[in-house]
Parts: sequence; structure tokens; C-alpha cells
Amino acid sequence: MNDVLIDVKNLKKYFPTGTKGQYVKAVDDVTFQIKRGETLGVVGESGCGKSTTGRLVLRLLEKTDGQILYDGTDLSRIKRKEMRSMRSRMQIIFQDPYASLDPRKTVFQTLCEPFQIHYPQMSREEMIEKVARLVDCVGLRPEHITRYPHEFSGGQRQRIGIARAIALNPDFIVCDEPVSALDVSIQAQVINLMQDLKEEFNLTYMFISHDLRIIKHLCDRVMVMYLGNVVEIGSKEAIYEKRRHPYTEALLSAIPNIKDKDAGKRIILEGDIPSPVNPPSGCPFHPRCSKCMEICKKEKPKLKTMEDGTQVACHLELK
Amino acid sequence: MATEIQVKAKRNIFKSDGWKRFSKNKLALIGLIIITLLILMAVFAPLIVKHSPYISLEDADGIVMKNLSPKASGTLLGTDSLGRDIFSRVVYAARVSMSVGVVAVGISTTIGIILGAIAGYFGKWADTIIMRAVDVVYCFPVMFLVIIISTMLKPSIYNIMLVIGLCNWTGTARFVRGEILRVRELEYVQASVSLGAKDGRIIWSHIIPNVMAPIIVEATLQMAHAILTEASLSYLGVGVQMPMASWGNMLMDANNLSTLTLRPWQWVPPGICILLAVLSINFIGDGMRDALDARQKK
Repeated sequence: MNDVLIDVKNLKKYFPTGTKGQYVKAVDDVTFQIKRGETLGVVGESGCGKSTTGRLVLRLLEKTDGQILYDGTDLSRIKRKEMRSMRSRMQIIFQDPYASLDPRKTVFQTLCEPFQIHYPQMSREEMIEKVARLVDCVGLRPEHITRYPHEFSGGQRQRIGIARAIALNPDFIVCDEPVSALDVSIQAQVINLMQDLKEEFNLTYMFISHDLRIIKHLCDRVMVMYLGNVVEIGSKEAIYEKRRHPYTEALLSAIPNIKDKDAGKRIILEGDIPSPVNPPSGCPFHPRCSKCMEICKKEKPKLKTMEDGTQVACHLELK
Repeated sequence: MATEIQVKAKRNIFKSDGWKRFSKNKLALIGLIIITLLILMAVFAPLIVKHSPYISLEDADGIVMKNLSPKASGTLLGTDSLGRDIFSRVVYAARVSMSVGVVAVGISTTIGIILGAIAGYFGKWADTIIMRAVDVVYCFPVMFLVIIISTMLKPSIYNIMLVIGLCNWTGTARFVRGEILRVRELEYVQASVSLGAKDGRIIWSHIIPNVMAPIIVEATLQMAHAILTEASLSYLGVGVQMPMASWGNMLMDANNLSTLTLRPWQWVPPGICILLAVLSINFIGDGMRDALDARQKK
């Protein structure tokens, strides 16, 4: 058994823009690891490459460059057929529960699909039994399975999505903003459900979100992304307490705090996020950084491992 | 517990939202009634008509009843220049026109769906090749092409179906490709990919059912077009050949000044039939467009 489940090295994804020689650098040289049984939170503002990274890890998108090792297996080296059977071990929960279920299929048909694909010889009775168990697992009632997605609320749909993801007993699930489309009261229920399932099935999560409180609540380690780059990655405590990278600091200052009004001023970043077609030279964050130095404009900082294991990409820390 | 679970939901079409939306559209409803009547007329043609559409009627003295008005001939719609019963011919022509419409659209829609699906789903060079082929076929003036092909082949009803079908798939192919490009990126399709489904399964089980509604609408509208094309071809004399009756060649038969001015019973009925069939099908298509549009779901 390998301790590291997901090992991503120098992952890149460039989308062509249509103009020749021009690319959107959605994910630009990202390296990280996810250990078995942990939850890695991925945060960053819209368009920073969080979701793209998640989909690249699952090979729902083909990478431009880099390496993804899943439990020691290089996913880009294996054949399509092997990849299909590998897929039973890694799943995804989508953001939009309205788009992630086929509107023309009943819950039963949707939840049968994983079994039909991977166990074609499974009998109908067995399938009904499995689906009934799944539905029970995620807190839906048995009579729900004959219904169509439009008959459910957002929270219930997301439960169906979760049931589909855990159907094949995967090790690893990418949660692509699974609760951001839900009401706050429902968010808590779904998050609790996901935590329960994690313990029950020994899951490893890559939890993509822009909700910093949920990340804090749920994750063991946190990865902060900006413009396709990892700016900081480390344990939840290190990220939330030390706030080494100026971007992390600005991001975390946006968490509303009702207990302590003077707990620190909100840092408001100036300017917009630069275009990933034409990223700034040097450190991608330098045009908006309050602590920008000369070197930041020229040289891109590499991830540096600190004494507590946190990795930071900032010239301030490299000194 | 499991045995009590009913896995299939029952659906009654007349209680569905779609039917409610369709029946609100009065024109579509009228169109559906007219088309149903025309289809019944085509199916039960031998039971409806008194005289054969191919035999000239003779009066008591054995003289052919040429060009007689309804009144003079004692038949419903009079007789044509060879003394055949117009009503019988109109009824039998419905068979020709309807079946040309259905078969030609069946051919063109099948080709359109398959090529459109391949182009849209696989993209890249398959897309380029198919879409360029569409452009080429689309550029041909269909009427010319059809006329040339049907003069080279023996003009028969089957060739007409084939030719119309082979020339009209481009619209459907483009349209299906577009729909598939849209649906392919939806998350439920991605979910199926992440479950490890094969391409064929994804296309047939997730994509086609979800793009079927607009395809059906498209096919319905195409059918009106096919009926019209058949009528035009037959009118030009390269379509359905005499003595077989089609609305188009009945019009051609009446195409001379004296008939047009003096004997309206020879050309008005087939003309009205074409008008009714094409209009009704178009109205049904419009109604279905509203009915099948899931976005209008209440």
C-alpha cells in the first residue's frame, strides 16, 4: 500500500484560444500530493484553475504536460480500456446538481449505470438491492428511486450525485464545489453526509471550493491556487494561522468574522485577475501584491518547503 | 423491500405537461386532426372510393366520361381528361405523398443523426470531413440534383424517396452536431465518462435521448418539405409517373389553359390537399417545438 494516493508533478493544461500560438494557461506547472485518507482543500478565486486541476487528475480532460500518478500508476500511460476500469476507483461530485443528472432518467436508471458498466453480468435483483442500499446510504427514501430529477430539490439531487459517486466503492473523489449551488442550511447537511461517507468508506477527497469556512471545517490540508499556479500548500493550521503568502493573507482576510470586529482588516486586492492568456512575468501575483519587490517582476518563485512542511511560492519566503 | 420498489415510472402522454402545451396551440391541434384524417384516408383508400383511380369511367352508352364536372358525371369531384374519377385519384395520391414524405424523411433523418452525432461527438478530423461534405451537398441546388438523378434512374416512387432522402440530410446533420456539442459538455455526460462508460453508451443512452425532441420537430418540418418536393417533381414530370396518382402529377395533368379556366375540379382538390398536408404538418411541428421544449416546464 502506497501512502501517497495522488501524486501530481508539473501538471500543465493549455487551452488553445483559436489564435495560433496563443494559449490559455489554465493550469501552469502544478505539483502536489494527496495522501490516502486525507482531504485536500483547493481554494482560489474563479478562473484560477481549481476545477480544471480536478478534472485533469481524473483524466476527464487531457493534460498538456506533466505526470499524474494514481496509487503509483501513471494514468497517461495506460490504455483507454484500462483507464475505463480504473475509473471505478476515482469519482467526481459536480457543482451543479441540476446539470449533473440526466433529466430523462429516473434515479434508479442513473444509479444503475455504474453497475451496468462495470458489472455487466449483474442480475436485475442484485442491482435493485444495491441501488436501494445506496439510496439509503445518502439519506433518500426507497420510493424516491422511481422519480425523475426534476421532482427533487437541489440538496436531494446532490445526494443522488453523491450516491452515484460512491456506487463503485472508489478510493478517491474529486468534489468540484459540491455545495456552492445549495442553500446554506442544505450545505451543512450535505457536508455532514460527505464526512460520514468518508469515514464509512475510507475515502480520500480533493475538495474544490471557494468557501473558506467549509474548507477549514472539512480539510486536513489546503492548497491555494492563483492564476493556474499553486501559491501555497500545507496543513490547514499552517495555512489559516501563518498566512505566509500575501495572496493567502488577502484571501483569508475575506472571511467575515462576527466575534471580533477588529480581528484584522480586510485586504482588498487592487485590479483584476490578469488574463491567463498573457500571465504577468515573474510571480503571477506581483501586479496585485502589496509587498512586491523588484525580483518578483522578473523571476517566478518556486515552491519552497518551510520547516513545518508548508510549501510557499513567494520571494519573501525564499530569502 | 426491494421487490416492492417499482422501477419504472408510469407516464400517461395525455396527462403530461408536453401534451398540455401542445393542446393549447389550437393551430397545431387542428393540424393534427387534419393530418390524422389524411392518413386515415390514405390507409383506407380502397374502402373509401367507389371507382378505381386507374380506369376511365364510361356512361351507359359506353362513351368515356372525359372532363366532366361533378354535377355532370355524378361523382364527387368530377372526372379528368381520361375520364378517371378525380376523388379516387386524390385519395390514392395521399398514399403516395404521405409515404414519400415519411420514407424520405426517415432516410434523411437517419443519415443526419448518424453523421451529425459522429461529427459532434468525436470532433477533430471526423468533424472536419463530415461538415465539409455537408457544405458540399448543401451547395447543390437540390431541385437540379433531384431532376438529374431521377432522369438518369428510372423515375419511380422509390427512387423519388431515395433521392429526396439523400439530398435533405444536411440540415439535420448540422443541427444534430450542434445539439451534441451542447449536450456533450453537460455534467451528466461528464459523469458518465467518469464512470467509465464507452462512447457508444454515452451517445445512445445520454446524448441521443436528450437531443431527440428537437430532432423530431426538425423531422416533422422536413416532412412537409419532402411532400412539397415530391409534388414539384411530379409536376415537372420527373417524379411519380402516370398512371400512378400523386397530387403533383394531377396538377401537371391539369396544366393547360382550358383546364385551368374551365375545369377547376381537376386542379383545385389536389392543390388543396397539398396545402392542407403541408400546412398541417408545419403547424404540428411548431406545436411540438413548444411542447417538447423542456425549458418551458412549469
